[in-house]
Amino acid sequence: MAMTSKRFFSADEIESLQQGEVMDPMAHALRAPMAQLLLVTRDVPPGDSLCVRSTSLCPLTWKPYSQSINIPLDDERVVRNLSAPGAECVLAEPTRDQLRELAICGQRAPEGVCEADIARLQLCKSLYVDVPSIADCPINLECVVDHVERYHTHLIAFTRVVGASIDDRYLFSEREEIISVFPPNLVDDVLDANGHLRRRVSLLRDIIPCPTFPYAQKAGWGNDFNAWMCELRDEGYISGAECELVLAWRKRWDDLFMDAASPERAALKARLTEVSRLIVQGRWGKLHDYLREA
Amino acid sequence: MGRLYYGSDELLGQPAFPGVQDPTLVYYHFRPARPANLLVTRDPDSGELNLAAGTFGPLTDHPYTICLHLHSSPHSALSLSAVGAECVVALPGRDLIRETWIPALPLPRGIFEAEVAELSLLDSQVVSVPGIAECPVNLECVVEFVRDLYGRATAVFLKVVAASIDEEMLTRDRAGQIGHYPTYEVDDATNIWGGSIERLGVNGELLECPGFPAGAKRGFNSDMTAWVADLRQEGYLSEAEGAALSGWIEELSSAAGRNPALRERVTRALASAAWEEWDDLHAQLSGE
Repeated sequence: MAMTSKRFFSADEIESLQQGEVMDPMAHALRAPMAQLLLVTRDVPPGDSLCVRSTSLCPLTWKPYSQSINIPLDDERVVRNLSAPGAECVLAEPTRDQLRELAICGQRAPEGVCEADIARLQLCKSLYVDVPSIADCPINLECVVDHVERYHTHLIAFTRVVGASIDDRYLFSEREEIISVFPPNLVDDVLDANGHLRRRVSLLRDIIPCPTFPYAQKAGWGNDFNAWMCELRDEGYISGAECELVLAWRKRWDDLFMDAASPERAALKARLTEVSRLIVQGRWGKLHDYLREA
Repeated sequence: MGRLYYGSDELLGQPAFPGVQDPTLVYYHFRPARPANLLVTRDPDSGELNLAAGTFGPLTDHPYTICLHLHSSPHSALSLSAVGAECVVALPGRDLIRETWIPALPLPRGIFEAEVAELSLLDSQVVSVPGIAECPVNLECVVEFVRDLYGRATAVFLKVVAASIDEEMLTRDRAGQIGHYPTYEVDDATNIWGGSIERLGVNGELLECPGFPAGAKRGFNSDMTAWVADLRQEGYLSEAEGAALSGWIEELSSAAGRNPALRERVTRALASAAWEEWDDLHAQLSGE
């Protein structure tokens, strides 16, 4: 693969790119567009008012299903709402047709006024939390706040999904269609022709599958190298003898792993690296030659 | 239009639905695609380099920080378990689909996945861990915070202490950049053995959210009171109208002002402005 030249940035240079009302395009180029969701919280002290805010999220775990959301500390209303003991919230995924709503909820309404009402979003009852969902959004994740952390300029809320709902219109949609509809990813903020800030978002497209067996275990997300080798043997990619040889190397490698100075360890590392490389690159002829010569 | 509701256990059980062939399909509807990354770390025991694939999320801009989530078992979790540990988060492009997958393979600990993937290393400026030369962006990072997640994973907050980008990427417009990197973990399809095939995606068209006058000139994170001032300044509201609306908003903040009627009045006015229904807005404000 041809190497291209690189532009390097120090921490100070990165920070200088991020100063001012609009980040330098190079600062955005160092970032990944992140999914934009609508965060619904109940105002504290308890009342009937709600707050809806556009936010990004970071996936954390699948079991349980959890994520973190980051809120600027100067957004005192949402910070207060998420920091309350037993706080609950809903994360709703807007569609590409709801960019005005996304922009409205990206601003801070006066206390007691709900951005969803300004955006004319319809709310509906959630089943698992005491905060409503947004009926206009295809997906709503009903969450409890497990922990909050103040980190530099933001409050990081660790939230756990306790239930969710989906608009049944999307149940039979293929993934390719879904990702082109929701959720939008925050790309950057730019100045329009009048010098006003506008947020730009994007949707995904072009789904590309990763390799599968024989370039991975049949299970895909496997964690068993030995089982993978046995599968290759069973399907005829390597012989029984070749499989035994590789597994013997693997066992010896594990025995010697902590002995960094061992020449045998270094040799085994080279062998296992080469075998793995030839397998994933599909160079079966060279693999057989290599194992024969070994 | 109806909604289907799922409890957390039901969600993780990959809910089936009549007529939907692939059991993973509904399940992945609930998981927004996440940007993929290649993570270069150093094994704390052997000192050898390790490459892992994962996803990451945003934290702060000042300073630039990001969040990783690492399963407890892989080696990278051990490598980044301490504050001060160093790593490089590399953002792969769409030409690196195979290479992004390879670190997810069950290779023995200590076998450097980058060598298996035939990737080249890039000397870092600040951290002691190299980046991946083929990746358009490399973020040199230091661990600032670590938190256990339910005994199964670890959240790691990283501060970006240096970075690099392909010069060629800087010649592309933003649409050209996001169409190339990073890739996103979209879902898993099912192979003929009933196993998973991870699928990655990239961003497509660039869309603009509405800006002023539908919102403040400063855009997102603005106070709506600033927006009202902008509308006055640019002539969408007369001085009297702007003063009236600002007065309502100020009254709302007082204890006496928190009455439902006032709240409704402010909401309706701001909604008219947000949807650019100027005649309706003038009519609402003209009575004051």
